[in-house]
Amino acid sequence: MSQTQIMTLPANAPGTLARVIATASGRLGARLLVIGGLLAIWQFAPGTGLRFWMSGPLEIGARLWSWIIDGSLWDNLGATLAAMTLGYAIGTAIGVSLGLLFGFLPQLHRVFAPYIMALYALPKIALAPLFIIVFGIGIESRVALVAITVFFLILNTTLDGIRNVDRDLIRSLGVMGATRLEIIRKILLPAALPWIFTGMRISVRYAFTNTLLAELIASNQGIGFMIEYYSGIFDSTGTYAAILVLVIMSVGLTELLTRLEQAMSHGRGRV
Amino acid sequence: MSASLERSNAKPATLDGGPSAAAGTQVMLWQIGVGIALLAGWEAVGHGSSGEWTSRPSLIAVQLLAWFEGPIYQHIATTAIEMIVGLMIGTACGTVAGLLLGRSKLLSVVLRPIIVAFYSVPLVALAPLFIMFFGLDMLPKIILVTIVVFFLLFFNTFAGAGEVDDDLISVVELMGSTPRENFQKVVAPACMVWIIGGVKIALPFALVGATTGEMLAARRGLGFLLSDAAAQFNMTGLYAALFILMLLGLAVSEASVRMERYCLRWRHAAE
Amino acid sequence: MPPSDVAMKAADPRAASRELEKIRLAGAGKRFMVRGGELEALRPADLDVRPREFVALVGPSGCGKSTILNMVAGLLQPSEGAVFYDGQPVTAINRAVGYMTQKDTLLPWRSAADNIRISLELKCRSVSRGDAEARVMQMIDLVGLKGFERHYPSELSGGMRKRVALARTLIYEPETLLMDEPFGALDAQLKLLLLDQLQELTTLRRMTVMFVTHDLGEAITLADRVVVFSARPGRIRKIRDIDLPRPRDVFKVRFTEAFAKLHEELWDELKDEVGKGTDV
Repeated sequence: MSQTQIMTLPANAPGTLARVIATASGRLGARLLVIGGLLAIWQFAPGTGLRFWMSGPLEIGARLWSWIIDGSLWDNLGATLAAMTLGYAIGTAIGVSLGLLFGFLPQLHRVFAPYIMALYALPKIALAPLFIIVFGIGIESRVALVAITVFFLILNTTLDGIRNVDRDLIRSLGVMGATRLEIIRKILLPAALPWIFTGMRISVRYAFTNTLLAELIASNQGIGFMIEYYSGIFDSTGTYAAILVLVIMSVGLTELLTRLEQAMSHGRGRV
Repeated sequence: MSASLERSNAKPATLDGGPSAAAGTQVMLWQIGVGIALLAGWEAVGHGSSGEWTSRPSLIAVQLLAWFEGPIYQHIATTAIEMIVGLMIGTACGTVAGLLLGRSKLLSVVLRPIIVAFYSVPLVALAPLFIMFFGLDMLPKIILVTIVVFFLLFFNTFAGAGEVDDDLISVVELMGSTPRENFQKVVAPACMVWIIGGVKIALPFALVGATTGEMLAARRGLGFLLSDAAAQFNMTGLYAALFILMLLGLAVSEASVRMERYCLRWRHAAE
Repeated sequence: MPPSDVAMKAADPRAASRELEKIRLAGAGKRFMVRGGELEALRPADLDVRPREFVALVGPSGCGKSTILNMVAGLLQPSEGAVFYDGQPVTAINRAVGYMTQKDTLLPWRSAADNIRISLELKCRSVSRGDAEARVMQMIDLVGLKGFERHYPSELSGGMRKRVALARTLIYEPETLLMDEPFGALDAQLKLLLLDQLQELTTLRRMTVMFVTHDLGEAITLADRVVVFSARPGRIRKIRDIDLPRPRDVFKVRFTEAFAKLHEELWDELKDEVGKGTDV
């Protein structure tokens, strides 16, 4: 047990507010209060000025409900998730493979490096129109966009992982007589694995974002499409409702990822 | 007097131990070779097939030259301005908000999950909302970029402000500093790391935001050029626009690297 | 003056001159809340430090020496008893002391020279730019870091960072110095040189010093009194006046017989406790 060297001065005797915050339920209550307060102001504030942008929480809720009932919510949600997962899977597979390949054959990597870097700098969303022309307006173009985004990220992180292996370690094993293949299997691969996983973790967010962006640009399905569609016909309630779905989806996704991460790190015995 | 410097980090590892100086030129030759081969291949494919969705490097080059004689500059300027203005406002507001809220333990604790929830939403997907309300010109894109950047910087600074090493503050306080001096001399510089980190992340997002907005609805800008070309099935124009966007992306990433290297000199000094 | 065993709470022979004390611990103890419950870091201690006195605190790791310094600096409040400075209870950060902590809290974004300069930049101390520059360079020379002024902390070794921290603390010449193992990470030669400089500076500027160290020899070399602590929960085992003549030749005093006797006597007290020390 280490003794803290310096500690800041203890606060003055904690007031009521501080004591409330100290409890978990107190905090939850405070947050709900903040959100609830803002929503209430939005809904009930008098005057068109504050009747912020032609809609209000109640109408939005009603529209969302109608979507749930008539199934359109689930269809679009499913489309977004499908495009995202498919693109993610393809992108990861190709990214890891090429990353490992380049890691094992560094000369090859060095030759292609500037082109990869150039493509990496391009905002992937700019490829959307191209993919639509090539693949049509169906799910393929969105999958392609997500796949390419994820591909680049995973490629980079995999390469980082391989590059981060201590050179001395490789050399000493080489001196001991290990073949190139053995070095790959026993050092490079296990060393690169955490980086690959990190890359996979980071890419989920980008996959999500780019799925939505692709749906914005041109699609006939998905949550992004809904946002674009309703704003296109100037239906602000619809737009807000779609955005609400987006928020819930995002938060849910983040939560899921966090839980997954915790479960995985426990599983691997690391804290 | 003993004068030992920090040990340098292990140098990056590759299977072959890295290129020598002579090999460096060889690599460059190969890179140029690959580039020429790719262009030649592309040209051939374009000639061979009817070039429906491939176009040809020669045509693209002609288009680029034509553009650079005049028309392109307003588009580049538009996109650049949208990005820069959004970045500046977003960074300024985000950092200030982050610093202020970050130092208040009460607000930190209560608002944290709400802010994290917002942070998880891909804000770029809100582009249609802003276009709906603010029209076709630069304003909605600037607002979009500002908001995206604001949240990124706010979150980063918020996290950073709460993590300032209290011991550092105690040290300065013992010397007789005022709370204002604490902020000036310890908190603010300490947050720079987070702020710069935030700007680094924000730069590409600014580009994505501006481009997406322009692709959705605009009269000018690189994104507009892109979707306009796509709408007319003008593949040459499309590839040309992609090329320019790629250049812009490279400029952005270079700027980001330079900025970090300058502002965070003290971090890299030992490397 | 005969050594007083404060742990027995004998009548303090200097009770009459209490008003003259610079620093006073009156039954000051500290308990920390930790995961398993409560941890007593320091048993209630009584200690007086006279103005311009150099007091060394020696003891095994984790015995509460740093806690005492923290309490005098006002960074911690005692769980029981009180700490007084110049007759006033210490309730807030004590700006009259200069504190060199065990952890070298240098500002990583400032160069060595800028770190040293920082105390002179504060409003409470109006020092002109030129003066500040001169004093900074003087300090850099003093701690032997010439040539490294513009280096950042990340470019300096642990020992060098400690020296920057030392210079930073000394430059504005606070009336009281608190030092927590300042010379631990340095090589023997450098240590002696800095001990010499410290003695000179503190005598010249008439500073009161509380000096924490593991090194008994260091303590006897510099101090007017040495306080020996037991292992955690720390309590004062012995307070011994060091009656070696001043000024002391830091390089040679260790070889005198008087020094050896003192060392033996205090080591006897200390060695039982060393084994029980916990890592800080």
